Amino acid sequence: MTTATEGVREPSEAAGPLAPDFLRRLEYLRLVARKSHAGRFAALQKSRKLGRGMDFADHRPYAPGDDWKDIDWAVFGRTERLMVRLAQEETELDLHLLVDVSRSMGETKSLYVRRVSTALAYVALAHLDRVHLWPFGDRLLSPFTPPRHKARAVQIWRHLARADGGPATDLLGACTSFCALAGGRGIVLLLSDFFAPGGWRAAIDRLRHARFEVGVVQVSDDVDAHPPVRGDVRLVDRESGKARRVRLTPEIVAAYERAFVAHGEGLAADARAHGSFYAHARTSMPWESLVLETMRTGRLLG
Amino acid sequence: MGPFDLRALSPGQVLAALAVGAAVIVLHLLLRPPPRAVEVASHHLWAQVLPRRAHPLWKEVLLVALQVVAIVALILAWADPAFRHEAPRSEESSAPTQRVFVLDRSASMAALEADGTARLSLAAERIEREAESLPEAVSFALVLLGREAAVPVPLGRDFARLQLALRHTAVEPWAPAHAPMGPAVDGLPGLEPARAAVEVWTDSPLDDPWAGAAPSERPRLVVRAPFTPTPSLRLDAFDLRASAGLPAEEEAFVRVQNPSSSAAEVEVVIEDGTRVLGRSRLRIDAQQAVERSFRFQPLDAHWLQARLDGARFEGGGTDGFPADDQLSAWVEPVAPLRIAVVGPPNRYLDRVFSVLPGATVHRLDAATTLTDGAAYDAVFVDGSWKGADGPPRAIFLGAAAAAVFGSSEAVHEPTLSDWNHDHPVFRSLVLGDLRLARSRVLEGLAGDERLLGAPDGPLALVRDDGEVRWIGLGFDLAESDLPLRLAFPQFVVQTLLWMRERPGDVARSSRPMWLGDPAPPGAVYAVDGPAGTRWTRPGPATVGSEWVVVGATPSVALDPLPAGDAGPIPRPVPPPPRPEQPDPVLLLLVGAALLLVVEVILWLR
Repeated sequence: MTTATEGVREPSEAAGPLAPDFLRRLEYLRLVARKSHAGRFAALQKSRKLGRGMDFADHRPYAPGDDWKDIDWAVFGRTERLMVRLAQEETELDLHLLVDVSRSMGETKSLYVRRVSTALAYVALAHLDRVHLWPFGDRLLSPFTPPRHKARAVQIWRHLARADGGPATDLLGACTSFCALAGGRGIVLLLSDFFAPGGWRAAIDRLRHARFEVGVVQVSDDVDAHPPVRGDVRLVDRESGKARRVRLTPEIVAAYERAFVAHGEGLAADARAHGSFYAHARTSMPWESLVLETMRTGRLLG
Repeated sequence: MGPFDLRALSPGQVLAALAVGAAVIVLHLLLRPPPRAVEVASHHLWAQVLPRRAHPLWKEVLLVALQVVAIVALILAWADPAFRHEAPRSEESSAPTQRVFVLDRSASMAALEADGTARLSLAAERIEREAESLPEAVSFALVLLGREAAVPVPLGRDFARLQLALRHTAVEPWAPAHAPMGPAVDGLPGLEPARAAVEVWTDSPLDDPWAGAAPSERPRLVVRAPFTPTPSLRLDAFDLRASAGLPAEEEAFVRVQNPSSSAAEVEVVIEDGTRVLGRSRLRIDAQQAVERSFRFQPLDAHWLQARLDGARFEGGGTDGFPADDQLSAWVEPVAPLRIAVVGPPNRYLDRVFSVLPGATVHRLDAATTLTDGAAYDAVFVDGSWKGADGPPRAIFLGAAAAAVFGSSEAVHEPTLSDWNHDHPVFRSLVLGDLRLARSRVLEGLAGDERLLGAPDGPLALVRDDGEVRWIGLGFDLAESDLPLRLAFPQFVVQTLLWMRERPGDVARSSRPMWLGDPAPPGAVYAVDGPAGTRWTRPGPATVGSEWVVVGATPSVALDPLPAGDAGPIPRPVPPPPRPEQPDPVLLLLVGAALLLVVEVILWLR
């Protein structure tokens, strides 16, 4: 039983955060890595490891002790050389969910990212990938890695519900800390509204520099996109609590909206330039559509 | 307040309102509610588009300034300003704003101008035109001067009332001079002497003490006398009396004055109610008077009227003031001479009496038959007389004289030593050679006047003591040659005339029939006519069957006209036509509204 709030359905504890029907649909999805990531354990993701697998990857010369079944006789016939056929091993994928839990997210956006994060975690866990939850706000909070079972995805939900990112958003600091702790492997999905005072570009570049495959989900609500205010108001920063008296004229609001669009376009352009996944999720858009459609279209999920 | 006059609020009140408005603005700035709080995710993007201040400082200041100016404009509009128009600074700035028209309506204002218009009518017409042309800033009043001063139009702008008063004003013919104007003018409600001008329309010199006061003590005074000197004759006197001569007749006395500067000819007409009794053409030189006497046979009329008719002046012109050209007078009846002769017939006296016109002679045999000696003008007592008393008018002859005057002796053929030439009975008579056969010497009393004397004593005496007039001749007429003298009839007539005189008689025995001072309404005029008649109002009346004109205008001297005209009284210069200017109140209200609109627009932007 759910209630609707700007397209995000409140879960009931009895049914868990995700509806069973939706979960079944998620099981058909899997994370799609755009590049190979070597995992330690066999899973369902292509890894950079070459070994025994179904997918031909490369040849190497025959060495005594190799399995004679791996000899590629087609190549012998062409080259009179004994070559062993190598295949990609399917290993586990690390999915790092860097979730903005700062106060700027607000209740609506926070709920939205909790749902999306939980859904992505379920997809990953269903395919025996590893999920690492990295909530951040004014600092990187303690990570959470649930057991590799899809039923543990709900723990992502609960952990995010308890996370308190503090009054500010330090995206660069969080990413820097993450890179230092995460080891540089896997997909990093950054879920935030990216209203960080220090900007986002350096943070994302830091992630890329750490050789993570970066995906960006910009979350915003209708108030972020189209502020419904005019006239003399006091704009109160949800994070800092600072208020600023402003006279919102139509021109100023229009300029803000353009700035907001440019903000999103900047993120999108950066993602395109680096071949990364980018999605701009409005809380007014059903989060299921984001997971089932947008992420598939963007080839984050397959 | 500058170029504006504030009609609803004083400058102090405006300042108070501005202070209140300023306090309201300050309180509004201090107490205005803070803007509502709106929570946003972050100032991150807002900071990129918001100006450094919610409103630029200049805008804040401008908004407050617009509010202040709008409130000031509203307060000034509340004060109801009006553009002030300064009157041109010129000598007309001190022009009188109050005009008092004083109109003389005394008798002389009935004089006619050359075109036949009465002076009063001319003055009234001019006053009406002048008042009608006065600017709105000048108020006017009307004072009428006759026997008394009247104020039919108080200070104001009631032109209709002025017109009505002027058209119903008439000359007071029995007001030879007008009342003083000072009390009436000074008593006008609302009069401000410093701002008033008094315009006196009169044909008489101003001898009013108020007019003679110092200019600082009264309003400006101007005399208007737009009249041409009017030639006029004046019937100055008309009197009737019974003449003293014989035969007695009616004597009319007329005096005509010509105060004009031209000689004139006029006809004096004497008439009763039905017929003209006499006419006389007179020529009267300028500044001269002519007197005439007319004699009439005894009349049976009670009154006569004299009037001037057909006056013509040299150089043209007729009598411009005909009101004083007629007078009426009572006729003093002419009574016949009544003579009584006591004694035997005296043919000498009878002869004289027979030729006297208008004489009636009663013959009485003896003194005992003389019952009322006072009823006779003269009693001749010829013969014996008893006692020392006698009729009040008597001539005692012979023994009668001795009885009355007393006699000491008789003398024969006295030689006359003196006779009184100066006495009326002997005036112009030559009796120096009078011969007397015999005469008694009269004694008389102290005070008796000697008429004829001899060395022996008076032979004729006169007693005139105020009660009696006696003549005593100590001789009989038959014992002298007096009856044979040519002077005898004259002596008799002079004696009779002297006897007929009444001591104390005035020269004019009748009174002109004019009222002189009119009595107040309802009073009885003291004009007594014959048979005790009394008139109570002027105008025609009857005495018996005769018409009487009562209340003829007294003679009114047309004084020389007042000197000149002082010229026009300056008038306040009317303010120049106001240029078409918008209503300041409307401007202020519209301006305040525009300011508020601008402020709202700036506030929204």
